[in-house]
Amino acid sequence: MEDKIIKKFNNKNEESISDDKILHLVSGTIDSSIGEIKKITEEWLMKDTLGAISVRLGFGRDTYKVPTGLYALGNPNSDSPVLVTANYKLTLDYVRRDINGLDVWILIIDTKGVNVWCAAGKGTFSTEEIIYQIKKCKLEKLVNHRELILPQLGAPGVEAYQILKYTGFTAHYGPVSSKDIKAYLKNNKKATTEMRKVNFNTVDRLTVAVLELVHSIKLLSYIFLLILITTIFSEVSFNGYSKFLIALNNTIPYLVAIIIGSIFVPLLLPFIPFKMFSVKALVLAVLWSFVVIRYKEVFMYINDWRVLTAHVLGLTSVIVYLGLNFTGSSTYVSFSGVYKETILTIPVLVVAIFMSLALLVSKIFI
Amino acid sequence: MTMTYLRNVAKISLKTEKCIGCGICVNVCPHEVFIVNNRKAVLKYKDNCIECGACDKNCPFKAIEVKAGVG
Ligand code: SF4
Ligand code: SF4
Repeated sequence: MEDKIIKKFNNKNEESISDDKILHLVSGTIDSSIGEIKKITEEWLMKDTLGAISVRLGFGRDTYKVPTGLYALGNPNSDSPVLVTANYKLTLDYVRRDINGLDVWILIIDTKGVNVWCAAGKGTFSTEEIIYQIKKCKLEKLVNHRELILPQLGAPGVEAYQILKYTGFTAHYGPVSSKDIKAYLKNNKKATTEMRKVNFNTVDRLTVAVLELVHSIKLLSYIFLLILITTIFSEVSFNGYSKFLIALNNTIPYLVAIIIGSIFVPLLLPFIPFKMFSVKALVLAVLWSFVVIRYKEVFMYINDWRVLTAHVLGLTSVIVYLGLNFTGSSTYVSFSGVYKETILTIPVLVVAIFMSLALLVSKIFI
Repeated sequence: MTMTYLRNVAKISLKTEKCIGCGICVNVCPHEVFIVNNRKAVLKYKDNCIECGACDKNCPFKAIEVKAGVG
C-alpha cells in the first residue's frame, strides 16, 4: 500500500481537468479553516439535463468529468459529514440532487470521469486515491470529526481499514444509491439491508439498454452490405434498383432483431425463463424468426429454403449475440458465470453465422 | 424481483477460522451473500455472488478470497 500512495504523491503529470462542466453550478464560496471552498448548487440546470441525456445515449461520456477536490453543498461547517464520490459529472449530479437541503462536504476523487462502480472495478476509485485526496485537501484541518462516507459501490476498489491506518479517518460505507443518503444519515449512518442491495429494475435495465442499442445499431450497415452483395449476385434477373429495394427490405427484420436483442432482451430479462442470457435471447429469436417466415413476402424474402434458413440463422445469431453481450451491462452476474456462458455460446454462434453465409453464397452459384 | 444467474460458478471462499464476525463483509456486499451467525460469517447465498471483490478487499482479517474478474 505504501508504494502505491507514494506513487500518487510523486505523480508529476497529474491531469488538469477543465471546470467547464461545473462552473455554472458554482454559487459562491465558503470561508473555512483551510481557505475558500467552492459552493455548488443542488439544482439541475438545462445544461445538466442535456448533458445527462447525451451521455445516456453514449455521446461525450469520456470527457464528462469535473475537477477533483472539496466542494460544499448547502452550508457545511467543521462538524458536517464528508461524502466521497467519483469525478464523473453525472454521478455528482445525482449526489447533488439527492441530498438537497443537507449541509455536507463533497470530496471528489479522480476516477478518470468514470462512475463509482466501474471505477472501483478498474481500480481508479481506490484506497490510495482517497488517501491522496484527503491529504492534498487537508481534510483533517477542515473538519473536527474523523469520518468519511464512501459509496458502497466503491467497496470493490477500496480497503477501508487502510484509509484509517494512513489518515486517521474511519471510512463508512453508505448506501448503494444516492437516493438513500438522506435516510442513511438520519439513521445514524446505518444502511438498511434494502439500501445495501443492488437492484436491476426495469428503469435500470432500460437505461443501459438504450446505450446498447446505440452501440449495436452500427451492425446494421454491415448486414445490409452483405445482403446487398449476395442479392446482386444471386438475383441476376432483376435490375439494379429492384435489387437495392430487395436488399433494403431484407434488412428490416435485422433492424428489428437488433432492437429485440438490445432493448427487449434486457427489458424482459426477469420474465423469460432460463438463466443464461443467450438462451433467454434465443427464446425471443425463435419467436421473431417464426414471424419473419410467416410474413416473408412483406420483407421480400424469396421462397427458397436456403435463403430462408440463412436468414433464420442470421437473425437468431444477431439476437443471441446481443443477449450475450448484455451480460456485460447487467449487475447480477459473475465473471466466472459469464465466462462459462461465453465459451458455451460463441462456438454455436460461429457455426450458425458460417452456415448462414455459406447458404447465401451457395445461392449465388446454384 | 431478484434475478439469479448460473449456479456453482462463483469463485469465492471463506476461511472461517480467520473470521471474527465483524460484519463488514455483510455491509459491503451488494447481493446479500453473507450473514453473520454466532460471530462467524457464513456464505448464505453463494450463487448470488458476482465476484466484485468488495468483501475480499475490506475484510480486515483476510478471511475471504474472491477471484475477481477484470472489467
Ligand atoms: S469481514 Fe471478514 S472478519 Fe468480518 S465478518 Fe466478514 S469474514 Fe469475518
Ligand atoms: S465478491 Fe462481491 S458479491 Fe461476492 S460475496 Fe463478495 S461482496 Fe458479495
